[in-house]
Amino acid sequence: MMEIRFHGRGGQGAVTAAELMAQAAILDGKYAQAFPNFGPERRGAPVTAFLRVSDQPIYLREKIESPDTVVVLDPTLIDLVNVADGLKPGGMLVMNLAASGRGALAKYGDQFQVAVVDASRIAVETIGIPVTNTAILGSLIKACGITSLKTMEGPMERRFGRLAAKNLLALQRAFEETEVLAAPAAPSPADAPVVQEPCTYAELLQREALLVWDQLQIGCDIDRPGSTAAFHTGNWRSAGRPFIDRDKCISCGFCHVYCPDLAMNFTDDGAIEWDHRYCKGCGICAEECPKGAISMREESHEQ
Amino acid sequence: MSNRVGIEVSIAVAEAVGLCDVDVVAAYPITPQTHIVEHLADLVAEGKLNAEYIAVESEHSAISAVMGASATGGRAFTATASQGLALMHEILFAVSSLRLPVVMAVANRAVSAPINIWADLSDVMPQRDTGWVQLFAENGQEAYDLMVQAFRLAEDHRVLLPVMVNLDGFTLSHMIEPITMMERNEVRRFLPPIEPARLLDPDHPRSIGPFGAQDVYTEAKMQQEMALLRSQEVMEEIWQDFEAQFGRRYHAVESYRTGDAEVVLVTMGAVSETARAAVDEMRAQGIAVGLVRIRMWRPLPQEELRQALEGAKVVAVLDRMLTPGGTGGPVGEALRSIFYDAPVRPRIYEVVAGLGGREINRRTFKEIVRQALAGQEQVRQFTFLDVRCA
Repeated sequence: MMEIRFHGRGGQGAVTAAELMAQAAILDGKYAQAFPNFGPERRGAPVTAFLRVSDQPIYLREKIESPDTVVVLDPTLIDLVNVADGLKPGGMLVMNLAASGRGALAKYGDQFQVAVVDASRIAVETIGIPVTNTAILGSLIKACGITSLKTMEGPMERRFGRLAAKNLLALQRAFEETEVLAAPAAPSPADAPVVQEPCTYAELLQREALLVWDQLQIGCDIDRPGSTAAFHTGNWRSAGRPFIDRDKCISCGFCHVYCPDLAMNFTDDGAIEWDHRYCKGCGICAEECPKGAISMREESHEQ
Repeated sequence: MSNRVGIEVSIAVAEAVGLCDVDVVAAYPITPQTHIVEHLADLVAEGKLNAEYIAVESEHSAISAVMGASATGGRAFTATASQGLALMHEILFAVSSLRLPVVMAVANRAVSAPINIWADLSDVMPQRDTGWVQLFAENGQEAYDLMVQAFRLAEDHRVLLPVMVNLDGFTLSHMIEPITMMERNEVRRFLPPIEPARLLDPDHPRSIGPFGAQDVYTEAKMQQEMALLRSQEVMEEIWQDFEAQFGRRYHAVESYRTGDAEVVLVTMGAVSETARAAVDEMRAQGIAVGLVRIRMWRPLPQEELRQALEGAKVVAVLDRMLTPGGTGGPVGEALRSIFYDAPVRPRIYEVVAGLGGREINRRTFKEIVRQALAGQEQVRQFTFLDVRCA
């Protein structure tokens, strides 16, 4: 059995990627499971999805704790979450990274195999938007097999209809352009680690639970007013940021009213100001602006 | 100075709530609870009780309104029965989980269908697992006293949980009987003004009832469970204080003539008085029979029940609710569970009877004891005692 964890951002299609791959594996006659990390849907937030593929029936309904393979759809996640958490020694990391970002791989190279592809560029060039889920599947097939590009056609056609051709092209190109970096030396059988749980059950509970039961506020209250302010939803931003054309802006406040995170605010002199800490890059402000004064553009990390 | 009067139990219950200086009453009338909230509405309208009476459009709104009132620091009361309690079901969990000290009287009544307004426990038993403290009154005096004790228990900072006081519909709620009434100053001495542990206050903002994912939910339930278990010892303390001030003593479990009893009846609610009379008559005939009454049903006083029943050969349980498709009724199940691991286990003879107000009288208890002592066989671990089969 192969266990795979996908890291993406809400809306990038990590769940869909796992699902498509599972459908293909099932078409191949294998057994597979695809499932999200069940929880609130949050566009732009870091999310995980899971995939199991096996030649035998799968009798497990648990999250994947120690994956054989990790797939990363969004390069900015590397700085936000430990994508290699629990990854088996010598396991495979499939990364979407531009050529310029490959320095980030150094910390993984001596423990894991790495397959790398610039899936964002491929997605923009084939599909027209930086949604990388279908491209990264091409890399995963290159790195791990699991299924064939051919088998992927059926599930992709059912899922994407007239957009399937573009997505299949992204899949094909990523397969061709993926570079599998030299693997660390495989451990000899004598050195093979004894199969053991990654931590004790008590340690597992400490990871699962925020607080000891008697340290919770009565009734699970939150006693710090405005604590949501500390929750920087701007971390979730992946699809560009709003730019305001001050010559067109009439300070009507539509963007302020419609913004789900109060990231568009009035300054003291009545102008509209953008707050990068909370903007998820959803683009509702640009959509609602009656003067077309707001446009969504790509941002660089320096901003 | 005794103030003993003949009064309808519902009216007395309302008077007790009035003496507790409640701030908010929100209720929707439903038989057989109506007299309780009607009288409270009268007290407010006549200026005898300085409270906000909210006439809501349903029981779902009634419990929601008192939950909100309690969150803002008020002492809040509601009452209901039957379908009304069922309609509250969803909110009952929220009140206990948010640790709000609401008090509610339930005039126990069957649930539909067929439509039936008379007493049994099939309204309250499905609420067993909502996390409320659940007390059952045997007579008018007890229903009256329990109301005052309930507020003190609910508001105790070691507890902070809602309390449900159950009284059988009609056979208790609508009886005229002698009740020794309390004076307002006496009640104030026993029940201090509410001191909310925390409250919704714009000057000190906090969130009550936020989202709680997998990483806190279990711990929140544990905290709630520990408070519910703790409520039993706090209740004992309150009952001691109550006895010191008013001279009436209460226990979580009451035993009657069980010392040498071969068979012990187990009952809840107002039928227990009839059961006691039946025990006396059977004792006069030489039958070694006793009675155990459960006053506190949640938290379940497991140790007290085990001690009260361990000497018996047969425990004869009357459940006034059928658990459809199950093993009888909730009390029988609980007792089997308590004794499963005990070194000496009494036989448990379980009877479901008295549904929808079907008469429970001394003959009923004598028949239960006769069957229990005869070792009559039970199918699916219970006997549907009073169903007409031929």
